[in-house]
Amino acid sequence: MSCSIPGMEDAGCIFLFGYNPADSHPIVARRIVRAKEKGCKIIVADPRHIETARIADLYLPIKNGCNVAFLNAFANCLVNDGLYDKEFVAEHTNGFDEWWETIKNYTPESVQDITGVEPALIHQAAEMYATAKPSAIIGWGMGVCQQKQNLKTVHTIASIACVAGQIGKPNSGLAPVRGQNNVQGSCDMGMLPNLYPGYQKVTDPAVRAKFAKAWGVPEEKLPLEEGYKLTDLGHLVDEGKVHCFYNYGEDPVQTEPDSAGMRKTLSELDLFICQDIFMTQTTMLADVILPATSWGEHEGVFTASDRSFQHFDAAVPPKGECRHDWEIFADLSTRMGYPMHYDNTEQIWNECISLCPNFVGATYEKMAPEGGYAQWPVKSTDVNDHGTADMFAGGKFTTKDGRANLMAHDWEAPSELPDDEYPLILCTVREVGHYSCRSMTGNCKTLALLADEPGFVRMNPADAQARGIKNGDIVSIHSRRGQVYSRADVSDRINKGTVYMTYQWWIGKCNELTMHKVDPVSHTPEDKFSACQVDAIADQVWAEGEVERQYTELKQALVDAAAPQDVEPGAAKFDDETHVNQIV
Amino acid sequence: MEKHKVICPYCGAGCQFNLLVQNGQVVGTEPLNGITNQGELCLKGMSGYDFINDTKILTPRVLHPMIRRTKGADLERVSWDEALDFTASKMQAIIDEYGPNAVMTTGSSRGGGNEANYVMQKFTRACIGTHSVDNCART
Amino acid sequence: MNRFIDINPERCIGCGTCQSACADAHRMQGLQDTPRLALVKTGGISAALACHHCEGAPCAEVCPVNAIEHDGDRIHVKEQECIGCRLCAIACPFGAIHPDGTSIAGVAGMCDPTPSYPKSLSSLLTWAPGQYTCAVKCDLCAFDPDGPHCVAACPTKALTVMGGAADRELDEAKRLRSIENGPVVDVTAVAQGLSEKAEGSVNNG
Repeated sequence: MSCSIPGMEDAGCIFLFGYNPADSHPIVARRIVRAKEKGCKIIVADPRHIETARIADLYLPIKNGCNVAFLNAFANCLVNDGLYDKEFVAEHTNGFDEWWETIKNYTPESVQDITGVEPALIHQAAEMYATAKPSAIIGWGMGVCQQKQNLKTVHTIASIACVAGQIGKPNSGLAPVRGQNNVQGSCDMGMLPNLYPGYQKVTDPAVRAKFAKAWGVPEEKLPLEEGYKLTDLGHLVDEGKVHCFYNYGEDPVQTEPDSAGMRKTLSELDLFICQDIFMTQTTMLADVILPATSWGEHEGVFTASDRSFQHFDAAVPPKGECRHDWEIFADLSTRMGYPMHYDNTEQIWNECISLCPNFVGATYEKMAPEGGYAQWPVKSTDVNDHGTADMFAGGKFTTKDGRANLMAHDWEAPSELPDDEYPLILCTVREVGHYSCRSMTGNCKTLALLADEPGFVRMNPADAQARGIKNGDIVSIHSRRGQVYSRADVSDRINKGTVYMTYQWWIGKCNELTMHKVDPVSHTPEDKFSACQVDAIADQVWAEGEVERQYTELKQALVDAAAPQDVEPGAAKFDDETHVNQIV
Repeated sequence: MEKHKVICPYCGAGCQFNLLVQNGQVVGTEPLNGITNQGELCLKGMSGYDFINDTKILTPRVLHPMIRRTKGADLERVSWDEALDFTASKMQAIIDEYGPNAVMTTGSSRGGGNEANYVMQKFTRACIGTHSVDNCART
Repeated sequence: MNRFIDINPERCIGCGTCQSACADAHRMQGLQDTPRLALVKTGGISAALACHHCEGAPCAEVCPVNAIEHDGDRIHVKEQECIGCRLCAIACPFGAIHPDGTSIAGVAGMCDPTPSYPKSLSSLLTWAPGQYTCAVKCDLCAFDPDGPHCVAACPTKALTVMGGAADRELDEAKRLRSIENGPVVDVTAVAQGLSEKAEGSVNNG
């Protein structure tokens, strides 16, 4: 994010594109409600009539899969309607003429059949956004990132902010609000095949020299070539290039597209290591299971979406033999001939920030008190300096010449279009009451009470009626990849022709249906667009029973997989009769 | 009742709150005046804590190291020493045979925290000798 | 006079934090943990709905065993005395009563949950073997002097407790506004308009 979450409520306009904050981040949605009350204009472009669309000044009901075409038309209006910031473009950007060569072909009128939006609405939205005072923010989420042209869409959004001059001042710019609590943090820490911690390129020899020296290894140990990406794991295993996968704190069988393909990949590895807190559908396939302490049992630092580092404490002692993640890595490294030793997380943190110029001022001391935080870039260790709320101040960007490079792309149709056999678009979304693979929230009494299997498939009343489906019915959803059951949630907030499912459900599991088709550059899968069909089930009592049976079976399988941990090493063989461990 | 300041482990908003602890069990939450949440929480922050207590509503916690001695064998509980020696020797054998790029690791974008991620990437880069470490930001 | 929980739909984001606070609060008291607020979402409105604690409460009128009583400024269901007949839920004009019971499924040695009805069925019509149903509805968290937990928990402050002091303030605010800005409804003009209409003339006001 180029702005901060608190700053959102002081913007003059918030344009939400493919982002549903009420379900993904209620506490960010709260800022948007407050912004509205302070007079901020809200624009929402989304195929669904989401919560924020209700309070929007302007709602644009776009068609699924139109992103780049829609944004190009929006950009087109900025120029053709004379709304763009000529001074900002001249002073702070490169490549305007080339950018316009592409954008000029996309008038709202010419792409109306792709966007499905009245041209007048796009003109109005562009005006509302470009003329907003004192600033405007574009917020986006997975509606942008999990599409075929994800990276290109982000380029287009960033270019819009530059052309409109709505970046480089307080509470302006770009607000891609990150999904998981520490996805910003894992990027900050260099959990990326092309970057060291602090966004330092692995291909830069000077950076390599710095890290080699700090870590006490010869420079040749650290390659100058980028590593492999996680989404390529499948074909890398197929081609015999990757033999060992060390999975730390993730559940790819649940969260990655095409679950069946993922299970096959994991079973073909020579060595599959899982370090987790739960027995999940991924953990149960592992050759080595390393039990780690949970959040609440260890301390550390998370990075929020808006680049704020915050420190969290341990509340309770570790359960069983669980060890801290960092202790396990350091111990394993030592056994493999590269000794690592740390006494506590602060030591690790201090080593990290000493190597990352943008994080230097993020000391534990600054983060310790209630409300304490440090927002990077943060260079001073002065406890009163909380860092940088707004990036690119004065239109100075992080490129070599300090200017933004405008980028424009042509729209491409999604990969798998609906047809006679699979006439509905399947789009994966989030639901507010559970999180990610659900292993954490699904084990919480209240959250499990409010929403449980088989989850929901949300659909328009017309699509439901055409299939004889009533609200609350269990239905069967199938695609070229698989079939699952889920519960129909029929609502006129949902656009006709598309159904929406959430990847957190283990029975109503949409990733059995989605396809593994990734963007060539970012390698993010196209979860937001595939084709499916939904069928009614006549015998609803049978369907309820079938879902319950599948759910009970899955939970029992997980309990069974975890059962060997109750037998101490060297103890008598596990006795099924007396140690049956049931959960229902 | 003990109180411990934490940052929410769910979405990327970064809400601050206290975990309330009684007899070693987390029994509740209490919002704090964090920079983003200003004393408010959503339902996940407020009610999403009891998984720590191993409620087994959906799935059990893993509490002891386990290994399969051969591919496809049953899981077996072992000591930490044995689990880590087993892992180290198997990994080393793969590196020796196919090179460091035959190993792929991940970071965790969830509860582990930045320090754990830092040590994981350092292990991947400085010990194994590959940059094949990635996180779920793509999915 | 009665008090009840009022919602501002302009602030509601449909997140369900009120429901989770409600479930948590009542479970801690040993009461049914099914949320006592319903989250209703139409095309244009999202709102949490709870019992209005009507003065002439129809639910209390129809209860055959007097398990629903007036208790000061609220209508209270004695959950232990309820016989689960659901008459109150049928009589309630707001759909604010949620018949619910504790399933015995999963209790050691008892049984797996075997659904005997589709969950899409109205809760007025459902029945599960071995499950004793009782009327569950908003009790304004009377067990807590700090008031309803949903109101405190709502992250957008969309919920307020109406009645008592809050109502008086609201009335006073309306009176003040009417003095400062003129009456909200100009009764004379309305009356005149009506009489003009009745005479068949065109009202341009």
